[in-house]
Amino acid sequence: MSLANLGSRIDLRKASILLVEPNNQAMDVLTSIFLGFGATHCLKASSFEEAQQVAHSAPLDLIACEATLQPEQPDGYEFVHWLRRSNLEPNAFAPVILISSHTSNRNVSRARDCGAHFMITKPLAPTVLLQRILWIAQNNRTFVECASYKGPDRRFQNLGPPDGVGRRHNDLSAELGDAVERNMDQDEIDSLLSPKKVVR
Amino acid sequence: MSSVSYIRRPNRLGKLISTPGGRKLAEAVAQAEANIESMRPGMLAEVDGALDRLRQAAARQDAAAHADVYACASAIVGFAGLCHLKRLGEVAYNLCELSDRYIEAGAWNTAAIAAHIQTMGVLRMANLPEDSPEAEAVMEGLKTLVRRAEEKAAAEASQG
Repeated sequence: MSLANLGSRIDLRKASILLVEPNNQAMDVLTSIFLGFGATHCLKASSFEEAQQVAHSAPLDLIACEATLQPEQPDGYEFVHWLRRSNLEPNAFAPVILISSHTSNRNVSRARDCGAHFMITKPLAPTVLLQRILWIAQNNRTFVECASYKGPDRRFQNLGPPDGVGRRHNDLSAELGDAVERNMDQDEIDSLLSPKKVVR
Repeated sequence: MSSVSYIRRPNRLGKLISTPGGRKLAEAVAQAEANIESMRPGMLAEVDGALDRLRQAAARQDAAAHADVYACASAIVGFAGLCHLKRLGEVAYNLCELSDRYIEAGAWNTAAIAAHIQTMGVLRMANLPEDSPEAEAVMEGLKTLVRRAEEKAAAEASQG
């Protein structure tokens, strides 16, 4: 995905953005990136509790949250999990980008299953962060709510049901039936794909 | 089967971002990168501080030491690449992987951890160009050290 394909401008001046990061220097980096993008309204939190307080106090348009917060306290994954089930309007549905230094399979799975839209890896690259923001802005993912999950639809790449097993009512069967018509021959295919000029 | 709801919400971020005005994407990225560049001295101090804490954590024997090694390595990953210390960041990331794996498995290989910390020290002090043969040799040396350390630990485990 390149930036060139995603429109030419970005306006974050009116966006309310929550930045959650426990390390002061890393918070400065994150803030400076968003300032570079033109954001003017960044709310900051350094812990799970502070992030909760901000989520209760103001409508948020975007959240960028470090996955590892204070030791011995709930982390960024747990914050997103809490947020999705908080019933806070409109923040329970706010786009969330989780940020992590270590994107092991376990961490990526946790990010997906806690209800984050994306996970991006440190060191933070402005281009990557901007791509993800634009992707979220242009692809309004449906939210799914069930007993085990609440968050943006995790199937957004048209890869078919996980492991080929459909669980949703509109999933097609993985089993293919027999053909009901004969295959088209090449001339018939060509006639469909290469329209000929009509001779009058 | 449990009930599932599909909820379509207004795209607030999409509306805000696409309002007329704002910055060109290339300008936004360039400004963000310039902002980061101006913070390089502070980020280098973070790398050095995390490296010191990492050495201390690796030398400790208490219950929290292993988690501290992981946390310090994570901190280095976050800053090294922004200070043009890509190789150092790669070694720190490998140390995250390794320490995470050891913590999960309830194991710990002191020699393999030490090899990573020494390599990071060399890369930080020697100031080698990122793609130089010397930097490549340091990385290869680390791989060899870690492989030997893990083979030795495996051999000891099978004997004991």
